[in-house]
Amino acid sequence: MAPSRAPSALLLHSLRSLAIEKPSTALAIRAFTSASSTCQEVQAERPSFYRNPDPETVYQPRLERKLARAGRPPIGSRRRRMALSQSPRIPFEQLPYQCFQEARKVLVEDREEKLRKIETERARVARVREADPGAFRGGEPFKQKKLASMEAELERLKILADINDPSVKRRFEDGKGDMNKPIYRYLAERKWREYPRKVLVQRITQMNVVPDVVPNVDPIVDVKIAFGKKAVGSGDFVPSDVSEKPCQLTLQAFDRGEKMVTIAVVDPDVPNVETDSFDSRCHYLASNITISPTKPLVDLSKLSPGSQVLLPWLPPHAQKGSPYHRLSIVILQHKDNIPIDFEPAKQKVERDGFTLRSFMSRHLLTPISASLFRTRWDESTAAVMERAGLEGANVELKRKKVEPLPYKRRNPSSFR
Amino acid sequence: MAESHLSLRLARTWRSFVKPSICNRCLQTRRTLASQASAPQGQRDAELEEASSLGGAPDAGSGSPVRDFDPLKVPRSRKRQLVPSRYQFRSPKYYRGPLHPHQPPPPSDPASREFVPGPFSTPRLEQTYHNIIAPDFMTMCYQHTPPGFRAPQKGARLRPWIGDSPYFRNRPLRGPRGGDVLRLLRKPITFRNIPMIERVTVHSFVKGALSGGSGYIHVAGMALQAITNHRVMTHEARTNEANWGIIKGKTVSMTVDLKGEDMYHFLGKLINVVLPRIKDWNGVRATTGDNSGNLTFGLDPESVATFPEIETNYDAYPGKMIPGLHITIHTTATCDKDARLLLQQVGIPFYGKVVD
Amino acid sequence: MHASSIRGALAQVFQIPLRPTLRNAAGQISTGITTTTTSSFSTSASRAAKKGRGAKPDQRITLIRYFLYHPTTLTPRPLRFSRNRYLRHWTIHRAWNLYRAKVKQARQLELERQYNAMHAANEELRVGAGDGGKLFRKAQMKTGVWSIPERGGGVPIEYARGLVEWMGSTGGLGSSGTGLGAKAKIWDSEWTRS
Repeated sequence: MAPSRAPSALLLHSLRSLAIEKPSTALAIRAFTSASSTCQEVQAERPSFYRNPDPETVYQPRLERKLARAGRPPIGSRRRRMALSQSPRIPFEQLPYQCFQEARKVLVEDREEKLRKIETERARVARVREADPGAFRGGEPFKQKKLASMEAELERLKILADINDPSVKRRFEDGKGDMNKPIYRYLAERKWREYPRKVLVQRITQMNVVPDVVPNVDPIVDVKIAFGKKAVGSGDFVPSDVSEKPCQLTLQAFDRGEKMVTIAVVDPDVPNVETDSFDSRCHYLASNITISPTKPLVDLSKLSPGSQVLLPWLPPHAQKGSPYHRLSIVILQHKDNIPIDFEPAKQKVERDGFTLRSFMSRHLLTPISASLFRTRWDESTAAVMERAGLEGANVELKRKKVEPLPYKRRNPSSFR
Repeated sequence: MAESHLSLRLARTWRSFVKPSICNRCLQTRRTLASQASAPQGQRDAELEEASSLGGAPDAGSGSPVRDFDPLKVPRSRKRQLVPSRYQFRSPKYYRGPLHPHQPPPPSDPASREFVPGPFSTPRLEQTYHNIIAPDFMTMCYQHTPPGFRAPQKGARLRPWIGDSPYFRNRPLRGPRGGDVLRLLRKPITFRNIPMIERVTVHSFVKGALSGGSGYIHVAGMALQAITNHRVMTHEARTNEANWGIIKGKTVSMTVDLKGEDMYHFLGKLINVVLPRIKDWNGVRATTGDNSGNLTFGLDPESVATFPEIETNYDAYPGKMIPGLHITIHTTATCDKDARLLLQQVGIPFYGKVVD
Repeated sequence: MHASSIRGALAQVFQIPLRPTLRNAAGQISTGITTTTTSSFSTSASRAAKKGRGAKPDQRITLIRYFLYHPTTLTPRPLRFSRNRYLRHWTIHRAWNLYRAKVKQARQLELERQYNAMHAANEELRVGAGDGGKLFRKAQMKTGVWSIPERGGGVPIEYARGLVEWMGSTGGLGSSGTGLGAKAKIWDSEWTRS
């Protein structure tokens, strides 16, 4: 290609001579005319690109800077904007690639079939719902069970109808998925289970949240912790001045409907000098919190103290010399999503010696997720404890010397 | 010490007597509200994606830019290249476990290192299998059972140890009768378990490589690669064997595992081109097999040279270095007789004694 | 290269004008070994023997090594697609998977239908034939099914030979004519681009 494109010297020469032959007149005329007629019309339709660059297609650094100064930062990478500015902008599904269009035909046909199936399944569900429970052999429970399984099938069909759609995939990858729709919830859950959930499960089992605080948990809700704008991974060490204010949680559920949950922040590593063991202490406890796939954000500082917060936030602190404290955050779902009675519950809970298991059994709660962060003594802990009115910042704990067993002594009497 | 423990336990039980473990009001509210819990499910038409790109056929007829679309026109008309992209995903070279943040994409993704394009053809043998061989096999092996018939229960193949000996307690179950190999069970053939060819292993022991240098290995590898369309896997000797001149650690053999499209192409060539041209060949010995449906037979170098890929290019190979092959055909049959029947249908002749 | 130097030496010895002809060149390449086998009174052979050179390696093996380990035979680096192109690829991949699943399902259903038909026919033979089930028992005999043709059973070799040229979907309708048999032919050797 290159050699054929390269202009020969002769051609170049002739071109140059052409350009030299009529230098001034043509240019002058063109400048004159264009200014009067065409350019103005164009400007009337659309202002010049250089005056008013489009953040989608701008790729000259100078114009980018100009846009950024104007408060409209350019969208996407420069490569993408450059390609977009030159592309004919054909919609994705109309791109005339043969195999792609054939594939689309197959998928369109499949989606129509799925839609038909959804219609029939819906009609079936309606029929069963209106039927008299006496018509079933098992009565009402059997009917409910059957309805539940049919609903699940309907949900599956809805996912199948949309899962082959490239635009759905694109929207999900762009983060524009609507969590009210089953397909996006399904995709989000699959993505969560692929990696982040594995890490979460590893952290809560490796750091023994699971047997120490809750008996067992199969996480079905994604938990993200943030202190202000600072996101905290599960199991990270958090400086005590950062964790002085309560954290914000993102509790992303992936199944339909609202959930009524209780959030407990429990520290199972409070050293107890008298018994030479560790106690647990509740740093935060709030009930009757409603979460849904679309409203996952829970700010612990903004829950209402009159109807939700059982125990307000106590800043996590570790005394000097004590091993790190695990601040385990446990999400518990209420049975049948019914709120618990606030006043009696508030009277009963105690901060020190709090055991989550008895709280769970008293209020019929089931753990649906757990996470944790850790804290240890640092420079700011003393100030934090003082501000919170806690004592013990001036005490340093020392490990008790363990007397070695006789046969493990360095210098047993038999050596002498 | 013991006293304190006792007192603690007493206190705990006492507390559980005094205050019930489940608070009463919670239970009451639950009973009253439980009936209302099943909320009515609303209309869910909005639950599907409205802006689906699979909604219907695109109106490509009117749109002239679509018709005139030339994917190469735009890049060719560019005066300068696009600026390079800042970030591109690279699949990791090695899998570092499920918790590593750099995870490889699935093999169907073209960015994956395991991505293999294709299949590019539908081999004739595969079509024949699905259209003719499988129905015929089912018909030949059909065993009628009247409606309501139940086969008599057989005893467990692994028997417990019965006796008075104290060593029989918790002992692993006794092996099957007549040997210590637990053979696969053969179930009656129905439309669900018709045997099919699963994979083919082509194996070649290169004897010349023991004394004649690496040329033998290379020629054999090239021949196998030409025949099977796959890179070979070489194997080293695991032990010294003075009688056969085998030295530990020396490359002596190579295998290729074939599946899917390549397997069917290989079998097609083997059955239709190579096997019919072997002179004075009776067929495969009917006693071959490993009792679980995998049959093996061998080819000598002269017949390997009649594979079309080698025959057309015979001058490129040193004639004495062309290897012989062992071909193992793995089928999903659970016994040799079914596998043999399948291979007869495919076109491999058998001879000799039949042992089942 | 080495061969040509030997040829040069030989040419010097025998005073032959060194002129590569096509036949010579082909012979050089295809039979590389033969260059060292010289006549008994040649000086170069003894010189070669003195220096301890053995038989020259076969040129074909060298070529095979060259092509076997040529960098183009290594695993290619993973593909990188732009986003739109990746999505197109993904769409095609999904459609292909869907299609294959449907084909598989159809095959399975067809087999099930055949099996059920066989079952119904056998049941009819057992109960409704009116001969006390004699014909049914005859039909159920499996003698020689798992045998081989040499012992009077099994599948004859012609069963598979026909598959090279014919699809069996029309049974034995033959090749000639324009009926179903013509459609069943896999490879039409008379076909030309009209």
